[in-house]
This record gives sequence, structure tokens and C-alpha cells, in this order.
Amino acid sequence: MIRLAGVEKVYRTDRIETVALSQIDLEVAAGDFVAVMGPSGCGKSTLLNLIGLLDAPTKGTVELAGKPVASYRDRDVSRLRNETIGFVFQTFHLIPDLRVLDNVELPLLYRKMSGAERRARATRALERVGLASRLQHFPSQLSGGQQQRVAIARAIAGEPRILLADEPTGNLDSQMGDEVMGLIEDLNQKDGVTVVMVTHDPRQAEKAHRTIRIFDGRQVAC
Amino acid sequence: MIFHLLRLVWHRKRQSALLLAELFASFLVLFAVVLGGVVAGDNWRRPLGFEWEDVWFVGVRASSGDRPDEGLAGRDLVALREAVREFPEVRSAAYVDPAPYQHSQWMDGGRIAGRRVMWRMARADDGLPAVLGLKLVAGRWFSREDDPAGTTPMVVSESFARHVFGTTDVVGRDATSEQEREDAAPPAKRRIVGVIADFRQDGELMGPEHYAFQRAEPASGEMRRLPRVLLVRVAPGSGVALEERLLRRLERERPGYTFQIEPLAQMRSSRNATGLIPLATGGVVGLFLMVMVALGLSGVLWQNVTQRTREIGLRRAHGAAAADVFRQVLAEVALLVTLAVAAGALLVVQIPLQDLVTGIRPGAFAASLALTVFGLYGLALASAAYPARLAASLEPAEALRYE
Ligand SMILES: Nc1ncnc2c1ncn2[C@@H]1O[C@H](COP(=O)(O)OP(=O)(O)OP(=O)(O)O)[C@@H](O)[C@H]1O
Ligand SMILES: [Mg+2]
Repeated sequence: MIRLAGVEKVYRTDRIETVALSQIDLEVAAGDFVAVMGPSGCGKSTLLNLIGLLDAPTKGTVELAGKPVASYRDRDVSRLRNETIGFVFQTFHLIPDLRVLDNVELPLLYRKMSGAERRARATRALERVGLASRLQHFPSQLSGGQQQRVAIARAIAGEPRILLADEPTGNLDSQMGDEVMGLIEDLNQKDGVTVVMVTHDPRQAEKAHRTIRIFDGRQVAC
Repeated sequence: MIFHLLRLVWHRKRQSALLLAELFASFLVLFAVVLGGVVAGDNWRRPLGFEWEDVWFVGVRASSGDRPDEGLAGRDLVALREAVREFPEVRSAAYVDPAPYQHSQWMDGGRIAGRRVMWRMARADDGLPAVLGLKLVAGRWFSREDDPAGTTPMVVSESFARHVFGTTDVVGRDATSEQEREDAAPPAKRRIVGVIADFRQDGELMGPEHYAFQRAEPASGEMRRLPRVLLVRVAPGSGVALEERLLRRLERERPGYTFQIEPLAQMRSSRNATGLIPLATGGVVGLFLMVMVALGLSGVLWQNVTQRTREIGLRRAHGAAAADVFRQVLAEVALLVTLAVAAGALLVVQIPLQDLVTGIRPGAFAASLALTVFGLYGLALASAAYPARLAASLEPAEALRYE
């Protein structure tokens, strides 16, 4: 499902060159659940961005669902992102000016689909995360845990095969974090969604099938 | 997507309202300027109803009088006209008051045949059509036939005839104003003897107004007010030499009078130049304002894009292509313009609907509205193009990290 080979990512700013990742080889099978751990600044988010096609590697290849992504133009990369990947972020990233339902519809806006169908799918996704009663709320009217569940609903509204979660519980207390973790596990087990999740919490990493550790941009043996 | 954007615009009330207000105000200003320009252009290309080339204006004034028309005598005016006509270079000469391009107007108005009408008018002698090349559409011009009548003969413009009677077939009709108050003096009797093509005394910039000539022939006996402009049609190419000879001849003919000679062409130039000043000023101010609006809009949108960097990153993460982001910024602006234009159009169509301003043809109004709408869309989209490109060029990963 996901294959990274010889991936290196270098950030160049005016004066300094930061090697965020180097010599990453990674293979994630369909239905797998991978936790990514490592100290702050070691390149975990960078890895997720590369897998999620939000960024291109400086060296090496990223392959998603067997597609030669490197040769894709922006329009095609965007389509692939839209159809195969769902993102969940530490800081939720909900649009504050939009109601919960409109937030969840977001990925569906970039597909050819009737408005009614969008509504229906977004509503279903919100039911899935247990927020069917909050469709017309604004994000600011929800608790952190609820907001992250909205973000998960948004990530799965388009029924992607891959879920990329960057510290999804990082801003939540442990009870809310457990709820969110439960949802992610559920998606992996019941729907066979491939999950790659960055976490600092060893307890959560245990829920994954396996854990990759990154130290200073390099993959270290498990 | 449209509904999605509508909701966004709706929930961002404060910023949207600000932009809307700016766009609405620009719409009104742009419309005013465009309307002025279109109406002027529309007027400019319409026929004048007379020919000004090779016609000279001769202002006649009695030295004894305090007011311009005091001390004039019909006999003197006839003699002066005859003296001028003796010149071989003079094709024709006739009295009119006020003359074309003169900064003077005479308004009349009343209820005729049950219709309220306002019109511009002038008094003229029997020879004016030859001098000004007036085009008779029906009936005849004034002549000796009109001498004995107790009613004032009148030649009206086509628009006058249509407005009052609904037709140009009005020769012989009574055009006396209805008496509006019991205690007022009975109105002077008037009868229409002819119809001319629409006559625009002020020239190219004058809008469509009704016009009428009343007979004032100095040779036909005494009258209350005599015309004091002699218009002279001269041979093409006549110049200052003839002007001086004419002046000397006139002064010799009636030493008690003073004269002022000026080609109509010259009066026309200065009149039109004066008329174009407000238009040009409006144009410059309008242009300046539009540049300010464009810069302001660009700035606000640029700031808007910066504020929404993370939202843009998020959209990219969820499958929006760079082109989608570009289009979204433009679409949001287009949406606001649509709202502003709808409100503005609703307001300005009241002008023709409520008959607030006369003298604007419906076609000119519609053209101005269309031009303004297109202009504002163009302006807004052009201003949005750069911020939109900026938004589209944001790297998704960077945008998401943006604080
Ligand atoms: N856009 C960028 N420009 C320059 N340097 C960057 C950029 N993004 C990341 N980096 C650098 O790359 C390295 C890896 O960053 P990354 O965000 O992947 O770390 P992380 O493992 O996710 O850390 P954290 O646990 O704090 O989120 C860091 O040193 C960071 O400063
Ligand atoms: Mg990170």
C-alpha cells in the first residue's frame, strides 16, 4: 500500500540545511497499523507529509497504492490524496467559520458529487464518530475530544484506504485520547483502513501492529 | 461548492461586510462615471438638428439700453439684416434668441392637450431654417401668412410632438397651455405650424430635450421682446477680413448699436470644452478611485489569504489542487461582487423606474449598467488574481505548519 525507498528529505533555508530524514525504507501493507515514534524534531511529521504526498522527497521514491507518484502533476497528486488518504492532525485544523457538517464535507467538495450525497456521506461519517447530534455546531462550541472526532469524521468522509494521524491525541487528556484511539483502532479493524500514526505515547503505540522508531532523521531498529 | 463558499462568506460576516461595502460603493461610483460617459457618448453621436459650420454669431445690442434687449427697435433689426444680406459672401441671415451654443436658455412648460411638458425654446424670424439648415419634418416654417393671426405660431421638435400628441402629425394643432389657476391671466394662444427634427441648442453634449421655436419676425410689427442675435451663414473659408468688413458695415448702418461677432464653430469648441470638464474630472476621479479600490481589494485579499494559510493547507491535504485553491479565491470574490452588484443594480434601476432623472435614454442606461457590472467583475477579479496565485502557490506542508 505504501512503499518508501531510499527516501531523504533536506530542508534548505537561507543559511542552513536541515536533513530531516535520510535513508528511509518503509513498506506498509494494506490493513497494517504502524506507529511512528521518536523524539521531537526527529522527522516524524516530515515522514507523514511525504507519505501523504503533501511534500516531495529530496531523494528516493514514494509509492502509494502502486502508483508512480513522482511523475504525477499537481492535479493528479491532489486527486490521489483526495481519494486514498485521510489526515488527522494534532491541532485538529477545523475551519472555525464552518459548521461541523460543512467541515466534514470538505474532502467531498473536491469530488464530482451531488450536494445531497455529500450531506449524506458527511452525516454518516459523523454518526460513525458519535457526533450525529452536533452537525450544526461550530468547532468552538465543541470540546477538544469532540473536535478531534470531527476531524476524524472529515478524514474518513471520503472513505480513504489510508489514514495518516500526526499525534492525534497530543492535545487531549487521556480519557478523550482513549476515545479517539478507539475510533482509529476501529477503523483499522472493521474497515481495514491502513493507519500510520505518529505518537509520543508508548501505550498507544502498543495498539499498533508495529512501531517504527526514528532518531535524528534515521530509522532505527525496532 | 457555491453553497460552501456562500456559507463561508456568510459566517465571516465582518470581513465579508467590509468587502461588500467597498464593492457596493465602487459600484455606485463606477456606475455614475460610466453613465456620465455613456450618456455623453450617446448624445455626441446623435444629430444636432442644425449645421454650425460657416455660421457666424452676431450679438446685437442697443448702446442706449441697460439690459441687453432694451432699446432695440424692430425697424433697426430689419435694416441691419438687410445690410448684412447685401454682402456677396453672405448666403443668408436670420434672427434667433437664444442662439445655438450660447450660454443662455429659455424654458417653458405647462399642460398641453392634457399632457404635462417642459421644453426649451427660442424666438426666431422667418429666415432661420436657411441659416441653420433646420430640417422640417412636417408643416412649414414661419412666414408672412402668420402676420395677422392673434395666436403665436410655433414650430416644435419631433420629440415635443410625440410626447404631447403621440404623433408628429400635429400641424394646425392648438398648443396653448391649459390655465392652471382661476386667478391667473389667460395663457397666450399658440398654434403649431410645423415640426422640425430634434434641435439641440446646447450642441453635442445636450441630452434629449423637447424644443420649440416661436415666431419673432422684426418685420411683422412691434412685439414685446425682440431677438438679439443675428446668425449669418457665410461662404466657406470666410475669415477675419469679412468679419471686419461686416462689423464696419453694421456700425455704419446703425451707429447707436454695438455688435459682437463670433463664429459658431468657436462658440461650439468652448461650449463643448466646458461641458467636458466635469466629465473628464469625473473620469479622472473615477479612475483614481478604481485604482485605490483595486489596491485596497488586493491588500485585503492578500491579508485574507495569509490569515487562511492553514485552511488552504488543510484543503490541499484533503485533495484540493493548486488550481482549486486559485479558483476558490476568485470565486469568493466573484460571489461578493455578485452580491454587491445585485444590491447596487437594485438601487440604480430605481432611477428609470421612479423617473428620477430625465434625459437618459433606456439604451444608454442599460449599456452603462452592463459596462459597470463587467467593469467591477473585471476589476475585482484582476485585484484577486495576485492573492489567488499566492494562495495557490503555498506548499501544503508549509501551509499546515503556518502559525
Ligand atoms: N519547512 C521546513 N523548513 C525547514 N526545516 C524544517 C521544515 N519542516 C521541518 N523542518 C525541520 O525538520 C526537522 C524535522 O521536523 P518534523 O516536523 O518532521 O519533526 P517531528 O518529528 O514531527 O517533531 P515533533 O515531534 O516536535 O512534531 C526539524 O529539525 C525541523 O526543524
Ligand atoms: Mg511533528
